[in-house]
Amino acid sequence: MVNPYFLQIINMIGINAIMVVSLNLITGHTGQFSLGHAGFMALGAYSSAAFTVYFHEPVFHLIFFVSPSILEPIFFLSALTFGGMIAACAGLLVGLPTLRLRGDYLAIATLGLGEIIRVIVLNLDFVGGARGFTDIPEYANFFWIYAVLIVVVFSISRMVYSLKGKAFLAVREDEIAAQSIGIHGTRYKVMAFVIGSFWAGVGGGLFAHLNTYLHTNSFGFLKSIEFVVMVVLGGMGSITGSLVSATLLTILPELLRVASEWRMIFYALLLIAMMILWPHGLFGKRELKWFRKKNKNAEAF
Amino acid sequence: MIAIIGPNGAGKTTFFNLLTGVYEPTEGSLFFYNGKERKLNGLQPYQISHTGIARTFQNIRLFADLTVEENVLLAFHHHLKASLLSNILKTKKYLSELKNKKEEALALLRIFGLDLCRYESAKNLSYGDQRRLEIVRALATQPRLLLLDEPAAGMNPTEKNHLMDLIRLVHQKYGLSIVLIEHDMSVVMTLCPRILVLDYGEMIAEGTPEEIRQNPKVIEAYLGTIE
Repeated sequence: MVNPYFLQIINMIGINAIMVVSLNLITGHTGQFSLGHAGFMALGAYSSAAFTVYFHEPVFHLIFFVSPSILEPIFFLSALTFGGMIAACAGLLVGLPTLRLRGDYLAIATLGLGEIIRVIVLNLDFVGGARGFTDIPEYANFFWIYAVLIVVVFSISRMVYSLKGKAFLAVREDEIAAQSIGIHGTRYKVMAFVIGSFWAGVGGGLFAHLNTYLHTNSFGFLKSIEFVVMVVLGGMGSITGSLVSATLLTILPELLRVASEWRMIFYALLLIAMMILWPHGLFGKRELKWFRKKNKNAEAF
Repeated sequence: MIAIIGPNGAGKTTFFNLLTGVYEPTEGSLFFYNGKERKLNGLQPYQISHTGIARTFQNIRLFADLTVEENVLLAFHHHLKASLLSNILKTKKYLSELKNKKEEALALLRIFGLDLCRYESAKNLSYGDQRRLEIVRALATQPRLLLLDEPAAGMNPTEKNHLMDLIRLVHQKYGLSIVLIEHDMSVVMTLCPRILVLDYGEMIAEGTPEEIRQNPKVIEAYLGTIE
């Protein structure tokens, strides 16, 4: 059996990877700066937790004829999807008006949204309010987390490197040029936002059902920044980079526990060093061959 | 094939920007005839592209970190039949469309001599190649009207001649209309049977190269006299 401490870290890596890859779709592949990713995660976490906590009894009571071992995964999957959809709706509501904004202004708008979500949830008593949301069923585990991660990586990489999906990259490279060849810039930006926030919501749901306890303190602005740091370090636009940096930056604080109170200083220094060494991130815009085959002879992607 | 000439600041690129929806006219209307007449006012640039107008830019706007081939493939975007979902699932329909489009892109690139570097990042191309790639990309949208903004800028005489041959070829082979903004008079006079002259936002003359060369207003504003 695996040491529970290591398992917890591996699970967190998986969840962080989902968060980073989904944020990378918005920021790295489509070039839209979002500082509110933790807000979408929070929406997904709280709504899927509310789903499992409040609907558990009615569902399992009504559908008594299906054995729990089959019903439970379906129930959990529904909760995760529900969480994702709520986050996606928020993504849509935010995306539509704000995507006319350029860079910095969009960043501030998303930052504001993240905080608004956090404060609203903080004041909702039926999800625990200031005390936090407790007793969430522990449905998430290694298999769920990594299965979702595989789906996320597969769907996003297939999408952005496909013939039609390249439009996301075109919008990032030069939106004016993209428009001039008939690509609807705003549509792709909104799509990136909606898809990215959907997966952030699912990631939040997994987080909720792994830790069985939620508090809005975990979903503030600092959390959003953590995800942005992971995206930038890995390389904006590199899925491979996102996976590597999520792993690295989840493990690093744990490894640094030996340094006790100097831990966060070393963490910060290491980040500075890494950005000096690799200003475009560890992978820049490059990918491991199999996400994006660039073959001189055969068919690519 | 028409050329628009005039001093810097006359409004030539602004005219292109109005035509392609980058700016919206504060007064007046723009019409484009492609089978039927369409009013262009208020249309977004991507919508104008769909009506059949394509353009290149004064300062090159390629997708720098994408390959030459990808720059061209993206121009087919509006004509793609396979949905985004088919793209993700790699259905038969998607795969055959992908194959076809890559062949089409290759054919276009070959005409312009860019086929050998198709897997190269666009940013790595020489200046002349980048300018030509922008034209290829614009052509790939299957336009009825092609707007070229100073296509010969920064080119040496050999490159300019080569470019003129290409433009002539494109005009004949694809039967589209071309409007050229150019400062190089040798290019303009040899290539275009009709020339418009702009100055301070107004059209001061229109005619054949002969007429323009002798027009006193044009000489004063732009061409200068022969000493």
